[in-house]
Amino acid sequence: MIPDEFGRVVILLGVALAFPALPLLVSYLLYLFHIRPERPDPIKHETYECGVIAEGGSWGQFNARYYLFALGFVIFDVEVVFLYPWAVIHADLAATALVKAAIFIGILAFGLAYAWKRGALEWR
Amino acid sequence: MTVDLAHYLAVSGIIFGIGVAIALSKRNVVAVLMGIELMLNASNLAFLAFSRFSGAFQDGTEPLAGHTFVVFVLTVAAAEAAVALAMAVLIYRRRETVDLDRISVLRW
Amino acid sequence: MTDLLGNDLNLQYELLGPEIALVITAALVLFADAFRRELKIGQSAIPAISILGLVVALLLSLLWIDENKDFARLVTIDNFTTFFRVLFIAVTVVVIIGSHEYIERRVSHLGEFYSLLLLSTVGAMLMAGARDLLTAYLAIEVMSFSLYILVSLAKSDTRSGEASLKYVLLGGVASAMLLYGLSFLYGVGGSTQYTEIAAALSDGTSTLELPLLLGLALIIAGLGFKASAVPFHMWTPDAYEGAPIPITAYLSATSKAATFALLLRWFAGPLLPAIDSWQWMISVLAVLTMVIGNLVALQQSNIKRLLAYSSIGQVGFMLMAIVTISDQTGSALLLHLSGYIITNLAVFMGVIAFYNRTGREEIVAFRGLAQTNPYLALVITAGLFSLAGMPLLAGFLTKFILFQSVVSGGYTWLVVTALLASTVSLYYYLQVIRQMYMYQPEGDASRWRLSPTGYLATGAMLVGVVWVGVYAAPFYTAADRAIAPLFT
Repeated sequence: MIPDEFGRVVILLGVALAFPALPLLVSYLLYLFHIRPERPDPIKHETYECGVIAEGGSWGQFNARYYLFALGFVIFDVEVVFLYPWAVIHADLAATALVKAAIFIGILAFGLAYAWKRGALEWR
Repeated sequence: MTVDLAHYLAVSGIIFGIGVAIALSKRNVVAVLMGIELMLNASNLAFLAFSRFSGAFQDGTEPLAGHTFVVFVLTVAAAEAAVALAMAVLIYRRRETVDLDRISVLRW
Repeated sequence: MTDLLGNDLNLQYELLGPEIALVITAALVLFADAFRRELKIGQSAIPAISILGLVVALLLSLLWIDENKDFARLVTIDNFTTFFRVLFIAVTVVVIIGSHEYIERRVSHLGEFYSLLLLSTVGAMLMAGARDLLTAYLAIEVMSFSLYILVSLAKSDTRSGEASLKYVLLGGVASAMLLYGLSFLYGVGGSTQYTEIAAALSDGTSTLELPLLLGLALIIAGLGFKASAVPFHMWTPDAYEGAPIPITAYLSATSKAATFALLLRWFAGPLLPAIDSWQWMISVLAVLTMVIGNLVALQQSNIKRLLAYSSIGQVGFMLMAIVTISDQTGSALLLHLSGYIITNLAVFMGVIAFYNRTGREEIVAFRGLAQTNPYLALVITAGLFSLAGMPLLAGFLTKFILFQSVVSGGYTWLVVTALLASTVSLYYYLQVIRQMYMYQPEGDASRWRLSPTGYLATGAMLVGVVWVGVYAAPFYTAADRAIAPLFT
C-alpha cells in the first residue's frame, strides 16, 4: 500500500531521523559491548575536526558596520523577487514590459547610486 | 489524510500566535523584530492557502491575487527590518543598549 | 490592455500624475541635496524644489474633478480621491512654508527629510484612492515607513530616536495584525478588489462568520493604531513628543486624515455588508478614545503631548461618523476633518514659531506670550478655542454638523458622551490660554516678531479657521461632492 500525500512525508521524516540516529546508536552499542575502544582527545571534540579552528562563542557580537552592507544586499535581494516572475513570462508580454522593468531597475539603481554618493559603500 | 484549507490556517494561526507572543514579551529590539517577521509570514501562509484552495483556483480562473500579495509582503518585511534596524543602530550608538526596558526617556 | 482573466485594464498613466510628479520631485530633492556642493546650490533650494513639485501635483490632481475612472483596477480617481489629494498637498505645503527655518536648524539630513515628506504624501494620497487591498496595504506602508524615519530626524534630541524606535516596533506589530486581518478578508471575499469583496459579503456569508469576525477585529485593531484610537494609542504621545515639531503637525494632520480616508473607503465599500459585525466594535473604540484621550490630556505639561492627547480625543469624535456611516455622516466627517486639520495646523504653526524663538515646549513657557507677541498668542488662542469648539471658529461649526449627523444616524448616546468629553477638553485648552494672557512673561519681556514665512503660514491658517467657522458653504459643497462616489 502506498500512503497518500502526507503519509509519504511522514515516511521521509522517519528516514531522515533514522539517518543520523542509526550510526550513533550502532557506535554506542559497540562501545557498550566493549568492541569499540574509548580514547577521548581534545582534537576529537572540536566543532569541526578539520578546517578552520572555531573562535569565540556563537553569541559573539558582529560589528554594526555590516548592517549597511546587509541593507545593500536587501536592495538586490528584493529586486530578484519581482524580476523573476517577470523573466519567466516576459517573452509573452508586450515590448512595454521591458520598459517597465527598466524603470523598476532604474529606481533601484538610483537608490544604490545615492547610497554610494553618501559613502555607505565604504568601510568606516 | 488529506491536507485542506483548515490545516494551513491552523498552522498559520499558531505561527501568528507565536509571533504576537514574541513581539509583545521580548525586551530586545531584534527579538521583537523577529516576532513581527513571524506575524507577517503567518499572513503570507494564510494568503497562499486561501488563494490555492479557492474555487476559482480549481477552475483555473483565479487571478492569483493572494500569491501576488505575498511577493509584496516579502518586500515590505525586508524594508521594515531595514528601517527598524537602522533605528536600533541609531539608539545603540547613543546609549550602548537595545534593551527596550532601558530605553525609556519618554513616559506618559 | 487586459489582465489574465480578460478584464480590461485602463493604463492611463496621467491618472496617477500627482503621485508620479511627487515621486520625481522626491528623487530630485535627494539628488539636489547629495550633489549640493557640485551643483553650487544653497540650502533653501531644497524646500523650493519641493514646493514647486507640490504645486505641479496640485494642478495635475485638479484635472480629474468630477471624473470617475480607475487605473488598472488598482486606484480609483474620483472626487473622493481628488478631495484628499488636494488636502494632503495643501498640508505638506503649509508644513514646509511654516517650518523651513525650524527644519534648517534642528533637523539632520535635509534632503532625506524633504523627500520622505513628499513620499509619505504620496502614500497618503494612494490610501485615499486605493480600490484593491494590495494597493491600500502598500500605500499604508509607504506612508508609515516614511514617517518612522521622519520622526527620528530631530538633531541632537535623544528623545527622537527613542520615539522612532517605539513607533516603528509598535507600528510593525499593528500592520502585521492588519495584514493578517486582510488575509482573512481575502479568504472570505475571494478577491482583493473592493467591489468584489462587497459583492461576496452581501451574497450571505453565514458559513464564514468566524473568519470574517476575526479578520474585522484584526483590521480594526491595525487601523485603530494608525488613527491612534484608544487602546491602540500608546505610541502617539511618545512619537509626538520625540518628533521634530513639523512632523508632529504632519502626523496629526495627514497621517490621521489618510487613515480616515481609508476607513471611509473600506467601511462604506467592501465592509458595508458586514455592518452588524463591526458597528459595535467601532462604537466601543469611539467611546474609549474620546473619554480617555480627553481625560489624560488634563495632566500634561508639555504642549506636544497635550496636543497628542487632544488629537486622540478628536479621533474619538471622528470615529462616531464611521459607526453611523452614510452619505450624510461621511460628508460631515470630511468637513470636520478639513476644519480640524486647518485648526490643528494653526496651533502647530504657532508652536513652531514660538519654539524657533525660545526653544521651549513646556506649557508654562507660554507665560505672558500675549505681551511679548500678541499676534502669535491670538493665533494659538484661536486655534485652541476652535479645537474646543467655540462658535464663529471652524471647530464649532464642523463639530456641530458632525454631531448632528450622528444623532440623525440614531446614536444619540454617543453624541452625549462626546459632548461631555468636549466640555472636559475646554478645561485643558483654557489652561494654555490662561498661561498666555493671565501671567507676566518670565525673563526677557521684549517684543519680538515672526519671520515673513512664519507670518504667512500662521496668517493663512488663522484666516482659514475663521473662514470655515463663518462661511463654510464652499467646504460643505466640496465634502458633499467628494463623498458622493462612495455611496452610489
